[in-house]
Amino acid sequence: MARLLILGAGVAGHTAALHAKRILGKNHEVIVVSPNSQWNWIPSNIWVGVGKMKQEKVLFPLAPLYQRKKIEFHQGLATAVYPEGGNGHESPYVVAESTMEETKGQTVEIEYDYLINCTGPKLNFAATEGLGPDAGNTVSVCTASHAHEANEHLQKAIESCRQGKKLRFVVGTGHGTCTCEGAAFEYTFNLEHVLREEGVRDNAEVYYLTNEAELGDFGVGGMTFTQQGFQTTSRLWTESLYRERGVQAIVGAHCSKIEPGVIHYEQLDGSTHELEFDFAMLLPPFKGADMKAFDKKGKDITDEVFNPAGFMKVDANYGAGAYENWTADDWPKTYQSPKYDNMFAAGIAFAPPHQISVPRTSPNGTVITPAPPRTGMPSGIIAKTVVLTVVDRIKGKNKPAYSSPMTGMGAACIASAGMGLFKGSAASMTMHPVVPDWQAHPNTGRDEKGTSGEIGLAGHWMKHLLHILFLHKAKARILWWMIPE
Amino acid sequence: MNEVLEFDPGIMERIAVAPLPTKKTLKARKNVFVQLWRLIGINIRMLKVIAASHHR
Repeated sequence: MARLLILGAGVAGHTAALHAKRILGKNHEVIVVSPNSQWNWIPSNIWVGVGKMKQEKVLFPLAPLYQRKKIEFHQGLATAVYPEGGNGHESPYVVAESTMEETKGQTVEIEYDYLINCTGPKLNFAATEGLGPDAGNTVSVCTASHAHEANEHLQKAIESCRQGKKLRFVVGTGHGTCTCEGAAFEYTFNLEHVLREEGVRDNAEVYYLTNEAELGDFGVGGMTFTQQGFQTTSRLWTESLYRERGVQAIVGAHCSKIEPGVIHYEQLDGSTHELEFDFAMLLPPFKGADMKAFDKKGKDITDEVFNPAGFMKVDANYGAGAYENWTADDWPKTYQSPKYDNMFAAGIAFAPPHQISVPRTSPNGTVITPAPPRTGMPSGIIAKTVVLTVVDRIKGKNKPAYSSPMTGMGAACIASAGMGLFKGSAASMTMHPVVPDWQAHPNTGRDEKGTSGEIGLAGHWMKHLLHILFLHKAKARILWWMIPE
Repeated sequence: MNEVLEFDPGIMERIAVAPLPTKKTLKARKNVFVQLWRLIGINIRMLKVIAASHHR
């Protein structure tokens, strides 16, 4: 009997756990360690954050599901990994600290034969002074509870607008190295949609403040679509939407400090500014889980297993250097640790070799470049790929590891621009591959047939359909495994 | 409230001259029948991308 230990129960971890148990069956153990007691369909947090969906609709408890699926579940935070064993353990093991109320802080040591690290992001609000719900100046939609709180603040702001006050709403990224610009884009247009619905749009200024050097970059270097016989860019396409909806934009911005009602930011030209606001939803940058690694003798080998930001090193080329030298081959294929062949990372937990967008630095040396997104569809696909490799190894099949590089993988992104069965809207985008491969696709870096974008009500229906389907899948209901990642 | 438009005139100028959708396009984006058709189109496109993206 083999033991597969999965750290994290987000999109990647939960996908890995369900598929692993489905394929491995009763003969092998699947163990999940996650600090969260509930699973969260994060894409719908946007709707929670504007009061269009209840928090409960995007969450469900993990423990009963894992009990039903015979998956061992520990609600705790993995703090250290010992890939060579030691301290009386013959096998590798992980130390996890309980996050349950009744056992909070107690540690447990869990041995494994294979480890899949899906710890996701640590929301690094501390990177910008005064950023985030704890500091109290800005809100976030990164978790369901953050989104719920964001809506409470939003409703108060809308009430002020209703009483005739002119307010400024700012949505965007709270640091120069943030990722998930798509989420900020969605929140901007959902907020704008709600302001119009409430009849207070005339009393509201809406700003999009982003670390993207240009609109439509989305952390993937933008996209080129073919529409009605012409090639158009995601830049032009999004600028059109900003004009249509009356949203103002500040690009290439790094927030250096947030004070009550004031955002201090620096732009790519090195200039510094202050932006006053009444309501601000700013996303934090991500870092990896604060997990340490030790060898058999107890020597700290964290820097050999993880990169300085805490993401796990895998089979990527981390020495590509300058942008001119970047190639598609830099990106990982199997997501296997180069140091320990029974350790893998999936989703945000793996260390990317570099950004996807062109790296930029201000004259003051401030890095203002989106980090590469690897959430959602890529996260799920990578998790399943890794599971298939681990299953082969457990079953003793002498086959090469499965491969899913982000340079061969596409992504579908439905960015909501307002909710409503007949009044809703969303930008439906597909790109293939996520990371441009200029050798395979010299014109635009991507397959022109697989890269597209359109705006309309159908996109909103699609996003709602995905909400239903992915919750069905995450709850492991009938034929869940037929729904692709 | 401070005025910030002058901080980043480039992007504001670009947005100001970005192409606007025509009335016909805006109507089509909300028309249930057109959008049902587009829903099928989006699904097909997404399925193609999904099929091309899974492990090898």
